[in-house]
Amino acid sequence: MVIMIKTLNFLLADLVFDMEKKVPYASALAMETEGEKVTVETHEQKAEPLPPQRGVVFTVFTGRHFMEAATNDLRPEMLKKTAQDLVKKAEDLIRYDGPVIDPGEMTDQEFYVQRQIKNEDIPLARKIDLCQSCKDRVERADKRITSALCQYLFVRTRELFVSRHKKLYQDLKRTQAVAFVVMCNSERAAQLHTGHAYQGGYEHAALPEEKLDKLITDCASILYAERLNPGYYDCIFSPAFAGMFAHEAFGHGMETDMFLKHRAKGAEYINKQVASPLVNMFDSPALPGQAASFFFDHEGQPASETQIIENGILKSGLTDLNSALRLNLRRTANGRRESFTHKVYARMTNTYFVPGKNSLEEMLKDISFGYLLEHPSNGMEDPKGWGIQLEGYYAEEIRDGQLTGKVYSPVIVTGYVPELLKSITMVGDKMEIGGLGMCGKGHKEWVKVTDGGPYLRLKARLG
Amino acid sequence: MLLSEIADYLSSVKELTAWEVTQLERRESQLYTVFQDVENIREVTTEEFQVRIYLTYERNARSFLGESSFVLTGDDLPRPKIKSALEMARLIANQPFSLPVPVSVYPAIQTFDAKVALDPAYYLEHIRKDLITFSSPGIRSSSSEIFIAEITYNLLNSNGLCASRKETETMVDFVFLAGNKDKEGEIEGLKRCRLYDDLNLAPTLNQYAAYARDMLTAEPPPTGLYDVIFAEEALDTFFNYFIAQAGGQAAYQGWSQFKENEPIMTNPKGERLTLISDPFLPGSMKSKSFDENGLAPEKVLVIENNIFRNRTANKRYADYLGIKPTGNFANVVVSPGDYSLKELMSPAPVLHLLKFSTFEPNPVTGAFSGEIRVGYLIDGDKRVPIKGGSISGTMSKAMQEIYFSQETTKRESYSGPLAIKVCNVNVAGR
Repeated sequence: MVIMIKTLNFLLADLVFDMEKKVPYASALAMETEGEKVTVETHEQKAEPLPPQRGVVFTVFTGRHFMEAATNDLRPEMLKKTAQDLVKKAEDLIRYDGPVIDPGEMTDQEFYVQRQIKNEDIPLARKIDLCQSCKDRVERADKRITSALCQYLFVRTRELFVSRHKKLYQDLKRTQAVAFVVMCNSERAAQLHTGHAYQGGYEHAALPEEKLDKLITDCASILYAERLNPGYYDCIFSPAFAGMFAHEAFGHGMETDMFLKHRAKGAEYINKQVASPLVNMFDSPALPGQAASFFFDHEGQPASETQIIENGILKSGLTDLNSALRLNLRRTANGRRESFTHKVYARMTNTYFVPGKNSLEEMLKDISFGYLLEHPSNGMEDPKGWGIQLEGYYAEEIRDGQLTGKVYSPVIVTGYVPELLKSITMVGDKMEIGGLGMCGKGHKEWVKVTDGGPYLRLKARLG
Repeated sequence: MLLSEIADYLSSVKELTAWEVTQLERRESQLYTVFQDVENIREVTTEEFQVRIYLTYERNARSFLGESSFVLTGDDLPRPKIKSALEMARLIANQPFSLPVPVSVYPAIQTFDAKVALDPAYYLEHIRKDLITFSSPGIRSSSSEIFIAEITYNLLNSNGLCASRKETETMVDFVFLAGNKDKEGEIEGLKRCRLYDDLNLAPTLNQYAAYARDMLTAEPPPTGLYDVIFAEEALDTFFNYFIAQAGGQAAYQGWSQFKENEPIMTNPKGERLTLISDPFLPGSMKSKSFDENGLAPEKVLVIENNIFRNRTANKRYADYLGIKPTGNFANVVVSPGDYSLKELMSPAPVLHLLKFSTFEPNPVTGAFSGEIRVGYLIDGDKRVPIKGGSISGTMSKAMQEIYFSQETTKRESYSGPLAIKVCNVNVAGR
């Protein structure tokens, strides 16, 4: 019989109670992820359930450090054994003169993401047809397309957090749609993707026509694109590019486990000017409907928004329990783990620049020569040195206030974070959040994130 | 549930043309430190059965392969899951291929370290002590993550194939801080190995300590066209474009630019690339006795003196393309060149780049870019540390003039020249 993690509520509460007879703090997190993925490509198809991840991680705090034991064997006797073995290992290390973990307010709550259309109610054949027709439509649009892919993904994550004061359960659902094309001519190949991901159900399964049209047009432009001459330029970042900028600029650099390790310069700049006064930036797992939203983090902290930058001033970091405890910082709901087999770190959720007042036309108006950057691919930041790298597939030339249609690819932005942020002179009036992102910490620890913002006008070094 | 019970059950499902099931057991010990203190000690134990099912059917006088998969953990039984898997498989219309047949003996490859598997806690602590007692002028250890894993694979398929292997993996991720409050820099190092004796941490720590110190005074290089020497971490992903382009999947999906027995580059000026896929390198991270389908992989001469010779392909894509299955690309082996590293350093100036924030050439287009994290501007006897700025280009252009050092190195899944020189690379810097 399959054990549903919600039914572990009482067992885990009993085990936590027993563990805390011997250790200063204990908690348990049960996680279960399932879903399905349908992929239709030019030459292949796949329809598969996502590999289910179901397991429990027990956490104890010895007064000095944390210890954890994780298992995917959910039989009650095995969970009991795992918890008891963990406490046994911790017992000799207990110290009561260290920091004390506040178990928070007494809470017993359940949270559910609502859906307009339940994914389970849609026959699989219809999902395959949806991907097939999307793929066919893309493929037919241009003879240079050698490979096209359309994908539907549904992910359902159930999480149960239990500590001395908390019993929290959340049932998160998100639906993602992606299209990907490869175009070739006799000399070159180009690739591009588009898509979206939102909390909710099958209502998000189809991609809008205009996104598909733009995918094909932009990929064709990239196929013939040259490399631009490296240098400093007036730039406009698209909302997607602005999102990656937010994520890399003061997302990673404000994860406070990095403060603890003296790996983030941001720790020394709280309440100091790091950006143009036009810049406001948030991280919020409480953003309605966004793919990285949740109701509580993996350490039982209720979701709420955190203002990272306020009018150009660096305000607050993103905390997990350990770094908040050690650094005496306010807890924010950013304690996240890839799965029950992984450790908690301070992680971003939905990270974004807040809209300003300018239209795209106003931003273009007095640029004599510059580039509009779109279709970001990946980015990296150096929280200690504040170096940043943003890569993208598409830079369109701007001359005399007009987009010329001449496209360069790929494009790479490198620079010094505050210098880039301080160079922002205009902030667009509409915000878009891109939902396709995943974020790693170092070279691993992948969690779902989103990022976004409005159009931004700034100066940047392009390569 | 036992692997054999799942196999017996799958054999009894009449509709299935073929199936494969892999039992994957993973036992991992993890230790995290912040400065001198332990942050977290973790034990993770998981076991799962990955099941893949296949059924063939006819439609409009053509044969198709339907396929799907599911995973069993804990007390899960296959019967409830097979129903939805069959439903999914019936709707899929792929080109048929056949699963590998039994192999009398798989090659013996050293990927398991019994002493580490027996007492991972001892080795975690041993590595931790090496890290916290490491001393180098002006260097502090910020944090580390040490993982030791023991992984067991048991695979059965409907052709009667039965394969087992064990692996160990030790990973050490460390961060050093250099300098003082006025000017402080960091560097992150990562070392992974299958066999503990290959870890040999001390030289790596000394090397990264030196980089951390050097990077305190580093600046971005001046913008321009440079000859660039790729070395160390920069070598780990340098050949990813060639690996992808040489694969069966790229050919089947129509985006491979490589054609058998034709040059990968027309009239290159420098040295010719020879690239081999080798699954047998002892202790290397991509060495394995069988792949995800149970196929015994082969060593493949992929590119010989600039000529594309053979594709690597797993059983699926090999059948689709009508070529010999070799397994996917394994460890990268590159033939050394005619010049010493010293000779490659001239004519000056040359950029010697060791570490990027990321360096991942696009598998389809070959476009690459990377922000420089550790590098040196070599100008005669002068060696100036550089950091920041970026390189960019395409692999097809890079291969127009390329040189390989005589000296060789072995990394976690790379064996080949210590350094690779690419001429006329665009650098965006100061």
